Amino acid sequence: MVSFGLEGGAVISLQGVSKWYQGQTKVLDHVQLELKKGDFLYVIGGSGAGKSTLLSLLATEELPSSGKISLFGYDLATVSPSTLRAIRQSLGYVPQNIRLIPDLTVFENVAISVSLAGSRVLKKESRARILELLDVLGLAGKKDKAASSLSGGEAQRVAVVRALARSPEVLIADEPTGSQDRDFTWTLMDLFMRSNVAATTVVVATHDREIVRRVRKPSALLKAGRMSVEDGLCTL
Amino acid sequence: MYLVKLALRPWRQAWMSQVISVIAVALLLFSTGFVFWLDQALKPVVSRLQHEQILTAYLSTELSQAAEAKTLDSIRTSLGASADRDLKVVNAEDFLKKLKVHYPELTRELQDLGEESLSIVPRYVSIAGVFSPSELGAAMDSIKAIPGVESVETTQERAKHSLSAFETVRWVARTVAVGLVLSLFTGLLHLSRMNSQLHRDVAGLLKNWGASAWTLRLPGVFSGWIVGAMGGLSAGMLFLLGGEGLATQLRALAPALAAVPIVSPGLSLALVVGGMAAGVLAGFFGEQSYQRD
Repeated sequence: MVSFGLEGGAVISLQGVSKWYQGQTKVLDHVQLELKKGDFLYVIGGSGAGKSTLLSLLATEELPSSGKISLFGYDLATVSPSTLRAIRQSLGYVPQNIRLIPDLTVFENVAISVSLAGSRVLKKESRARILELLDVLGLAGKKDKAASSLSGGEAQRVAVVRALARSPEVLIADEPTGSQDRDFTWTLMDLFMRSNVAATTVVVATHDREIVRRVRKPSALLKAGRMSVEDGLCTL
Repeated sequence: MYLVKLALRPWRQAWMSQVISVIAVALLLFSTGFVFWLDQALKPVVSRLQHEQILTAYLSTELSQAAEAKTLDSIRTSLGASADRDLKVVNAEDFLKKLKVHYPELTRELQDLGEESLSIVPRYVSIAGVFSPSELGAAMDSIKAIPGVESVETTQERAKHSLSAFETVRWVARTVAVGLVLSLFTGLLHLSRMNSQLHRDVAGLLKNWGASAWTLRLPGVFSGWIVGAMGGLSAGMLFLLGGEGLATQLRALAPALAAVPIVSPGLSLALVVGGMAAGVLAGFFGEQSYQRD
């Protein structure tokens, strides 16, 4: 795991970020955002507001059409391939479309992600952490099952385990509770909070207002691609 | 380990393509092995034709018994240090016997001629051995000069035609081998590109988790290795089982091919290793642009 050591500096910085796809209107329009180590931010907004696009940009899946995104102080547009790899190794990303590898078991899906973030051979403590997380999320009995056999809710929880087991410096979760019942929703939020307490910067996109209301943290509202502060912290 | 498991995905999702590819690789490797072996097998044959000659000195029919012995001594002397070469005297009786064996239809005519036939058939000395081109020229000149020798012939001219034919076969074999290797690699490369499409989602995930360019190539490299190894093993087995038969068939084609060696087990091993190497290289170079950073 690479530690970028940005004590007090911005871990995530978006300056005038816009994103549009060919033949479409802007999905994101001049978004400004700055998050420091240990910050927690909800990104809220309705369907099609641009939440997933924003998180996809933060997860380095794509580059903005204009503006600048910096992670750990590195401009993603100009960063070297090796630094980009190191940045990616420090991220934990729960995409909305879960994307498990159907050929592998539940445990292997998590383990392969962890092994790419650290040592190639899975350490004993990493293995124990994966098993603990699977247990907490009610997946212990399914660890050797093929990922393709899981229900939507189970697959989503595996995706969360996959992100958290990497002990990321930045956790990005896109609608992580979308397919969960209330119990698992609060369990997931509890795991995110614990990770945040351990100084992980957390960005959660959700349209569930109850989560935002009950787990009080700063939030930013995305509406038609434009971002506005709902509850402090977000630098516009 | 997980990446090896991912490499088996093409066998689950496109098994027919993999099986057909293994068969194609096996046949191409077998054909490559065959033409390579043919080239190597003809090497000693060509070498033998180039250096082993039979020199025939025809003696005068009017030569007396005493003079013949003297002429033979002179021939032996002229061969000098190379006197260990196989020197065979074929007198008129021996010649007639051979003639009757090879051309039985002439038996009656020869009988009609009676004793007279002995005076018209040639007597000759046949010298078989390894001659360098310069030795052969010198031997011919010195034997020609010996009294009682009418003329001298060698098998050099006859061998020239066979040599030229065998050399052509060797060149064709080498060219075909190069073509087959290129076809093999191109086929595996196309398969790897197709398999790479099947790994596309996995490659996207691995890339986002921080996998290096080398790691991204690994499922493709393993997939290529599997197909190459299976094709190589099949071709190697075919050679192990049918190699001796191939050599026997070739030897039966012409007496000059008697020197063709049997197929070495090393060739089977080389085909397996070659299949693996081609598969690994094709898997490596079959990587698609979306797998890069």
